[in-house]
Amino acid sequence: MTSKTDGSSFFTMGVDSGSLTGKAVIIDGNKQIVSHSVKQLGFVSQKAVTMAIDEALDKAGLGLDDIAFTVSTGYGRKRLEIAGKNLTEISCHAKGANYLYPEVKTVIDIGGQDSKVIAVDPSGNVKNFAMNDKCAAGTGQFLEVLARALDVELTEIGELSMQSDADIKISSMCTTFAESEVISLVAEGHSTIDILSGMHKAISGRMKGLVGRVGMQKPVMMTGGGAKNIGLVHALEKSLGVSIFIPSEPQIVGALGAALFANDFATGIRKKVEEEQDLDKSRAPAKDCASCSIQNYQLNKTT
Amino acid sequence: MYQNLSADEILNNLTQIAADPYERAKEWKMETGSKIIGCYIMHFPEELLHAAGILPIVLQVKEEPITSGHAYYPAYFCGPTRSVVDQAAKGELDFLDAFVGGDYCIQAVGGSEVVGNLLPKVNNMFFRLPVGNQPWTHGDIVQGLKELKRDTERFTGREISAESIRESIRIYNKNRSLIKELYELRTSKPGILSSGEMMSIIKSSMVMPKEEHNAILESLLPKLAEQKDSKRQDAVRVFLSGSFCGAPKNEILSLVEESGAVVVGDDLFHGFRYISDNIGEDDREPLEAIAAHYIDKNTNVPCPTRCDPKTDWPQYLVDSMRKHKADQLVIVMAQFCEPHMFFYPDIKDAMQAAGIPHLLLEISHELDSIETIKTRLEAFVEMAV
Repeated sequence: MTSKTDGSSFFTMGVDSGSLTGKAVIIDGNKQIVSHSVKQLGFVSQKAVTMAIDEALDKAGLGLDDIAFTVSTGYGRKRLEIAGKNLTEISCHAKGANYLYPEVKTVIDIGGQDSKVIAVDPSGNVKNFAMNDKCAAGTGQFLEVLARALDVELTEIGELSMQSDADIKISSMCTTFAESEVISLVAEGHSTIDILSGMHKAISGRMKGLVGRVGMQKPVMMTGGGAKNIGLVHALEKSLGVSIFIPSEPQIVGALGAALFANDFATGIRKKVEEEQDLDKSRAPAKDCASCSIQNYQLNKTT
Repeated sequence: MYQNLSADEILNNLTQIAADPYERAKEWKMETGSKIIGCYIMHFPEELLHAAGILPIVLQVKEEPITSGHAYYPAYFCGPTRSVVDQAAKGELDFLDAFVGGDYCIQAVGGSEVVGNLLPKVNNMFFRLPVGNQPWTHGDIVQGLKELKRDTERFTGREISAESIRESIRIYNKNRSLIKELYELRTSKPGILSSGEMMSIIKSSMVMPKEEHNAILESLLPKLAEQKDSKRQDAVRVFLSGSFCGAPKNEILSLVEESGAVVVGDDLFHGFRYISDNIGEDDREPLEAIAAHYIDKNTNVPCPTRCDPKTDWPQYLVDSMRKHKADQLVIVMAQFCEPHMFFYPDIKDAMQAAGIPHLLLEISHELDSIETIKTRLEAFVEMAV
């Protein structure tokens, strides 16, 4: 799978230690994806992360010593000892999304524990973001709880919900209350597919509010495990009135971004950016708007 | 006694006093046999109460979950108000001899009423602080101060002389000036005091005798001035705003700094807002000077509860960011803080117009996911790197 020629003779790795899954991506010096892996075990499972790393290395025919630099991201990012640097999944999803679709301006990430909307600039930097801040409502975990309550497989809920043309409203977005509401709907005789459809509409309504906080700009991409749910994607497209780009492996976008950051650190590109920032901050105190540090900061961000 | 302690030891002492905020006042009461009056958090003329020979302390938010207080105040009111009500319901404020409530915010008015009812053995007073900045506002505030002076005199049984108020003003001004010196020191050496330590210094000032606090600060200042700055020069410079009434949770302040940022300025109540302006020590009648202070300090650091049409809090924040050469603004908002929520849309617009990135952290009393706040703060700081 690997071709160790030219820039391909050195490798960097991104590891996304998510709340429900562990993901690893290895890229070569030409920033081509060499291998990736997604593993799911328990909450922020170190074992799942280790398994994902081992599998990605195995698929690439590499050992850990062959990796020049590793960046970790996700909920468990601070716990990965082999990582030379850790960055938030917000920065990594923006970077990964920009790599896969350079024109992308808005990224919607629905992960296991939280959802985020990220405004991305043409260089893959985060311009702005919003994140659900109180609970897991509307996330992968929320879907898992409700799939269990309805006795359907998580992987089936997307296709099933697409069969519904009913308009069931689920008002509560608290995972616990929504579960009670679903139980009431089942008791009232509503079909599973109609309830699933209502659930996706409810989540997309909540996401619309989050998108509104950032300000949607097209094109829009969806990442994270939630993007694998075709029913949710359709509900979101309808709610937002846009067509959403879904990458072939939406769960690895954060780890891919981390691998790209690792490449930046390994090659010194990232450090160079920091040095430029230092120069900017060492300038004389601002006396007017044209020379003040805030303006300079903005200039830096847009170049 | 503080002369022989190192800066770290002094800071540890102040942090401990701030962490258990009523213990030093209780000790003082045992030592002196004097009385303590609890002030309901913001905007109280501590100088006037101090001049009566009693110790005014600013009641503090406690991080413990609200239990007994649920019976008296609904969950959709702000955490600071509910926390003080909860402390009263649990009997934790029974050490107070008097209590003074206020009307600067609708939740505080209700909270003051409830606390007053929950502390039946305590002498209850009310400080009426008229809002706005009209030609009659100063006179109205003087009247509110006279009413509080009358009630305090009834409580203590002795008259409060103009000279004793002037002396209290001098002591309180000294405290504000010393803390301002710390701020100035921190401007040149941001690493010598963490934002958590700065908050503990101000919080401890609110709950212990100012004379004692002044002596501590006089020992601390030269020791800190000798220290070298430990902060990385390339740290992202953050200005902290908001958090009325309650001190921001220490964990949140630490997270800001752990995310790679350095706090270069603030307008927190447990921060610069509390000490921004001294009271005039001229020949004016002291209540006139205190009333003028309420108007002046709002010009220095605008407060949304003061409804002063001549001040512009969003613009103040833009100007402060530029003055401190801050890269980013972090807003800490107590959930359901109505005055703050009312101003936030204007602040957001002002920041966008000025090209200043900002992050809003809406903090609830019990339900915060620290991990989520951490991710948001780190991502925000990463935006500037």
